[in-house]
Amino acid sequence: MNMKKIINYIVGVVILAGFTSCGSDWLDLNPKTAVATDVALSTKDGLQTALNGAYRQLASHWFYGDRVPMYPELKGEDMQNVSSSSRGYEYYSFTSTPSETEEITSCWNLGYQVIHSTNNIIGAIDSKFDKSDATVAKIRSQALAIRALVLFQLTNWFGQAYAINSSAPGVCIVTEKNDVYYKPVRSTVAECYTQIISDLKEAISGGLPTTATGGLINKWAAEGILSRVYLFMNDYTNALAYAKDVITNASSVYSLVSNANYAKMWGAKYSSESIFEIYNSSAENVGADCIQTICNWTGYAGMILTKDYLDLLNQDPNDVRFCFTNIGDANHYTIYNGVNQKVWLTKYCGTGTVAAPANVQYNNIYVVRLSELYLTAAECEYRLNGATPAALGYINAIVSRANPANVLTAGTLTSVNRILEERRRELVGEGVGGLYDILRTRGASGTINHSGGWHIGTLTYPKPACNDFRITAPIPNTQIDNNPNVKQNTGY
Amino acid sequence: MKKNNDYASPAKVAWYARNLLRKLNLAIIVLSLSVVQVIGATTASTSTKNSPEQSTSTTDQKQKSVSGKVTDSTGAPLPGVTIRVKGTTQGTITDVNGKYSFANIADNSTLLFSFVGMKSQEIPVAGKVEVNASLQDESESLSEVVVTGYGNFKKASFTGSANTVNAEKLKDVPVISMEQKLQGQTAGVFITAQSGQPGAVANIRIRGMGSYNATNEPLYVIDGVPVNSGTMNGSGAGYMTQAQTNIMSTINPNDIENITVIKDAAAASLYGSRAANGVILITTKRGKAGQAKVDFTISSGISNLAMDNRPVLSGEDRRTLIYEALYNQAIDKGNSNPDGWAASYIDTYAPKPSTGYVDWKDYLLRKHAYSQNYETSITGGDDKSKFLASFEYLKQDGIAINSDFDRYAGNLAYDRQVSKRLAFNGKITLSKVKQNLNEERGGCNPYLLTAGYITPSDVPYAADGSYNRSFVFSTTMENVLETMKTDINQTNVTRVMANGALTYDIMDGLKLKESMNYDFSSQKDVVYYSPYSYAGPKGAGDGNAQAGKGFTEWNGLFNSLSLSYIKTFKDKHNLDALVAYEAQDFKKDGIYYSGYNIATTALTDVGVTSTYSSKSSSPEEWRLISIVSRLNYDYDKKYYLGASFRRDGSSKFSSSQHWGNFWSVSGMWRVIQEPFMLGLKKVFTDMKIRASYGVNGNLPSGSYPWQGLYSYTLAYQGMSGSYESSLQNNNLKWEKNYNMNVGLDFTLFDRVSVTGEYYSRQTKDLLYSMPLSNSSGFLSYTTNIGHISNKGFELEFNSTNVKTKDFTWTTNLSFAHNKNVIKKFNDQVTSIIAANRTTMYIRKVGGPFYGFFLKEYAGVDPATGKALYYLNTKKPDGSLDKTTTTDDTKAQAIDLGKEAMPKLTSNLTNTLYYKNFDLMFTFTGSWGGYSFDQMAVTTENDGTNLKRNFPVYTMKRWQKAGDVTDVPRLSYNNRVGPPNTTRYLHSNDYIRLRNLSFGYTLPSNIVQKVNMSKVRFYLSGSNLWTKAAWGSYDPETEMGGFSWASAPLTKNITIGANISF
Repeated sequence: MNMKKIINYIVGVVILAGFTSCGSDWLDLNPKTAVATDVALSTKDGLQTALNGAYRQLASHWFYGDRVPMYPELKGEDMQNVSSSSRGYEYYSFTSTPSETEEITSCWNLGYQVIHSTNNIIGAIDSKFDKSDATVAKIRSQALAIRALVLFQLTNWFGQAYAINSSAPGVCIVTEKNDVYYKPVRSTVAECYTQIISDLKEAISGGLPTTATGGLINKWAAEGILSRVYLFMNDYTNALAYAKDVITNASSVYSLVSNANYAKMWGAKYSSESIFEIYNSSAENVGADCIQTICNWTGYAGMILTKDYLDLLNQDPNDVRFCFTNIGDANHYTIYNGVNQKVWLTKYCGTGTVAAPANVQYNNIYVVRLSELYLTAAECEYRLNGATPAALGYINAIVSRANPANVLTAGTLTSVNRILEERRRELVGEGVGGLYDILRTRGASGTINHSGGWHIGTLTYPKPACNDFRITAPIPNTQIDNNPNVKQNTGY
Repeated sequence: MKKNNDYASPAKVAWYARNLLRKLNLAIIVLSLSVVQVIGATTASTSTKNSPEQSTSTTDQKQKSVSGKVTDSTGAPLPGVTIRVKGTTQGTITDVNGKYSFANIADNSTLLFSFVGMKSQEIPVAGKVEVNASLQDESESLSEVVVTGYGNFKKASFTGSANTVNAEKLKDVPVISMEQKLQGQTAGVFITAQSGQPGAVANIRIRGMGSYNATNEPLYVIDGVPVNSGTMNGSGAGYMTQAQTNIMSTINPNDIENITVIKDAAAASLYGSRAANGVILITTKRGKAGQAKVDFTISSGISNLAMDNRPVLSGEDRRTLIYEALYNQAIDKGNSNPDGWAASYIDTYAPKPSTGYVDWKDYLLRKHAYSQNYETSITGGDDKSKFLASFEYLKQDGIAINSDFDRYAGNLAYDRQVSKRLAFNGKITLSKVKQNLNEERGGCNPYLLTAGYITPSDVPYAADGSYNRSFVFSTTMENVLETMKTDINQTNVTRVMANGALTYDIMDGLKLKESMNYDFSSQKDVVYYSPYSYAGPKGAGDGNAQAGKGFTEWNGLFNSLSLSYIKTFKDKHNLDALVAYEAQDFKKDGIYYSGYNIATTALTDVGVTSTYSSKSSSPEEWRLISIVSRLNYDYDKKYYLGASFRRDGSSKFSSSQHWGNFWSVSGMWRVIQEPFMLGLKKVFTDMKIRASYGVNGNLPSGSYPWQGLYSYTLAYQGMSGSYESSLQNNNLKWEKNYNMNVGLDFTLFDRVSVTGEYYSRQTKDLLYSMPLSNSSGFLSYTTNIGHISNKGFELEFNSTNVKTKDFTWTTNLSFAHNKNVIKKFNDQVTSIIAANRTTMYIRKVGGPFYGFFLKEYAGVDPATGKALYYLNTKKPDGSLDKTTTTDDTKAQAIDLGKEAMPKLTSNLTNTLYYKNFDLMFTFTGSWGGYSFDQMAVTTENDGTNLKRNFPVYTMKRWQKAGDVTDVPRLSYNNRVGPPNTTRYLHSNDYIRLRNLSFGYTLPSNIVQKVNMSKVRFYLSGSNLWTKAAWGSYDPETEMGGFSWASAPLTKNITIGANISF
């Protein structure tokens, strides 16, 4: 064998050796921007990161980003669409169908994505962590509260109002990571509310912070949400108890914004009365398509205040809440009786002011404000005990703040409607009242009065009864296709 | 209305010819100079080849000089013929005059004459000093070679199903990418472009749709290396257009020697792991031995739309119809003065601009898009070294004013017989592509706007010459002409492919080959939306521009070590065996950043944006290890048997499922060799029967499809946020394709060859996005479930009609039919209404993949002019109620039994040579497919939208009782009809003159006087003529029979010259 041959063989062997080193291990590759699920949830930091993710999902386009506030407002009486091509018109015209992607399907899907995220966190904690650890307990409690908040929204959209028919089908209750082919049925509205209450109570007692946490859920936020849940059930006693607890026991943490500072509250992050709001910024926002731009004439310009609402506000021309109404610009005026109407809602005024909004999509989304709890407390106290000093105290906190010249007395507060009106004036556009208040206060025999006023073109004025099937959103077709155990709401 | 197809005007032709001549002159001067140098250099190198190694072995033999001349069958001299002295490494090559000479060879030696396309000859020297040879053409049908990555086969001995297309035949066809050359050349291969923009991605289906959620595209293999195909969808620019950037457009199609399409399992299972949808093998050109030969090609062309795309009404006709819609509205509303009503509104919807009506095609589309192509190559070498170098520049404008494509491509190949046993092959290719894309989404897509979204009453410029910002068709202020002129959507790709291989002859017939390949691409996407852009900030005003930039890097490493053994035992047992070990690693990484607010319109780069908008990073990697084996055996060229086995490991599956096994068996009986055929040999010159069966695989898309993962793309309050982005499936495994093929080939009178094939492709363990209950937080997860079947036949005729000294005429005709049936989804789902932009398709067990599911339009009620629909509700007996209704909400969508894929496709190619003229043309045809016109859903609006234009055929609208038409009465009072009806479904049948080329070669005596070996001028065209069943838009729609607003196909005419030195 000559030298050349030997070299050739050596080269050959080296090449072969190089290849055989590529065994099966060589095929085990992991992504660089994602980690395996069990690894992601194996540390406290990992849990916190997953919790952050759940908050951001909650803020998504199809949830708190726009649909959560839009839905009850457009189906209620205080806000309306600008035209039939405005976002959310299907809500406003009560024409939603089960095949709509944006208005129906994405909302449902997103809700369950957030629930899945919270279930993963809770599941990981329950199986691998010491629940008594303060950090872990705090994370777990927030996850529970988020899960409850989402289930509450889903139940209110896809199930009938609790006060109208609590035995009607609600939504699917999912509290753990199941087998991929798990196909749950819909629980009743009452069962959903039971789950919501149980999650919130567990969160409240489970170690939520009692200091102001701004963009995160603390004990007071969870109690505020729970108070709203009880109110929707017409359980005034419990609603009052939790509202009162926040007003009384968190007084060192939260206080109502004064009349002087009222206009500055909007757009500012975490005012003194903000208990929980979802954080947005230039780096974290859902993009151009959000409630903030839909309400703004410089953006999608799709939603405005109704004549009905402005008439209500106009009862007192000095009401401070006129600050968040605006005439818009020359391309977006609504002229009625020769007057430019202040139809544009500028609660979401971004980095600008209520008078001149700017970068509106950076505006946080309000979830629970102290004002709501005062209004809830006032309503419940009045309904339970009449115009007591306590009831007057709660309502005057809002009424006198709106205009210090106004004070209600036992003589002037003679109907709960006065409190409900105040609720409309204060909470418009936040997705807290609107349709939900109408349903729980008017009951099955009531109607929703889309009275119009600014309507143009071919917009119609649906005035469905409170028990009309269109009040409840249809279950998305894809959910029924993928899980036939889920039955459609009647009428669709 | 002004027509766009006036490019044949005399003035244009004259301008064009002058332009070309000018370029030619310049090019010839430059080339002449360089060629002189090159020829000088190579002559010098060949004269030094008397290496000691060559001149040692023959010392004890009697030596003498031998010379001679080699001619072809017509007596013409043949340059470039290789002549070897048998049993030695000595060799030479004939010169331009066909002459050769050897200085010193043994007088008892034998000379071996060989030349591509001709039968080799051995002639003993036997003491002569002059040995002349006349080489005969190889019979075409017998010489055809099937090139597979693991060995080349003469078609006569190939047991599988494959077609090889020789690129030489198609060299004149003006295309950017090789797929376009393939069109019309092989039966059973269905090709559509995603868009007519230059450089757009093409979709190829070989023998139907075999996959549900995994890819349906074939595997591309270039020079033995599996490469990525499809879109370079990096970031940014790609998402706004259907066209995207085709990876294959980085390859100069003229660097391709041939393309083989593998359709069955026998050949494909060598590529088993990813060959389920067939394989496209591309062999690029390499150096040829002989005197240095320089080829130069220059061509220049013009293109226009292949068909008038969605013609709309002229301004005056539109005004008439709008008036009618308003008039009818007044009548419908009971208005007593309908003329007064219509007259008071007509100028709102159809004003006459003071400057006249506008045809927006004049502004947004080019009347003629020009293209130019320069290409030069040099090849040469001797029996030890061969080289090839080529360089190309191509520029082609799209029809939209902001669409174009250009490419530089260079190529260097070097082959060297290093020693008696060791050979080296190396190649490096460099290309740079730049593509400007027009928007194909909405707002500023010129094809959408000119199809009726913009009206002839809208003017591009205001009276003062600035851009008009007030339109009939839109309430917003964006001017599409301005948008198209200012916005940037650009993709740049730089690609380097390098490969080197060493082959070592261990012993006679046994070869060890190591080959290593690196494929690198770097992509840069640039996006800019001006403040008044439709696509971006939607007229947000000054300073609100948006910009983005992204870089993506693609790295492919492929390594192959193979041992092959070819041996004939006892003259009759032919054995061909191969084992190989291959490893492949693919990495992709990219980053994209976008921002908004730019202070000045003079700048467009993302670097000057003041506000952050988004970022993304996209690293991924996958690997593949393969052990390949093959054994072919034949007895006496009569009975053939083949088998292959391959084991692949992929990183895309969990460690328990990494490995998959793929195999095939095949056999052939060459009936013609049997003694009983002797009597028929005058009729049948060849006859064989083939069969093969085997299993191929398909991989899921995405690099980590089995893993349950948490992604970190979310953030909350400045802190990182995570969520579960995919569910784990440890059992995810290869999709498997069971492929059976039977074929019969015969040749009559050595003139007409016929191939018939029947196949059955059964895809099982489909990679399927199994829908989950939405309440799980996931909509689907990837698993293996379901079964799709494709069955069909292909028939191909090749005929040499005339073959004389001066005139040759050959014809190729083929037909293909495929039936696609979904056999099974899973245990729970039997049909899916697929929401593809509109709910158009139904996918059910027993039906095809692209079956249409629509409400049935029943035309127009002659009495009232109202649109009618068939109810199609189910009657108690199960039949459908065919009563018509005007209430479309009552009409039910049904499975129409119509699908997008054609039932029959056919290709016809004729090639003619007469003296110095050559002519080739190809027709393609397609029958039985349907397409859905998504655009008409909004443009055929029966008067519900007066702010648009209507298709020209709206002139056929119902006007009075008794009118029989299918266009309803126009009225502004009409209600918008349903989008999902058969009103918008049209037959996709067509016949198209796919390509034509006509060439003239200057007589060689003239050419040789100017030191050239060949000069040929040609005129070629593509898509020159089309006859379509429904003529409003191009019948070659996107895959799935969906027609909307992507750029339509173009017709191209090119003139050019090939010059060889």
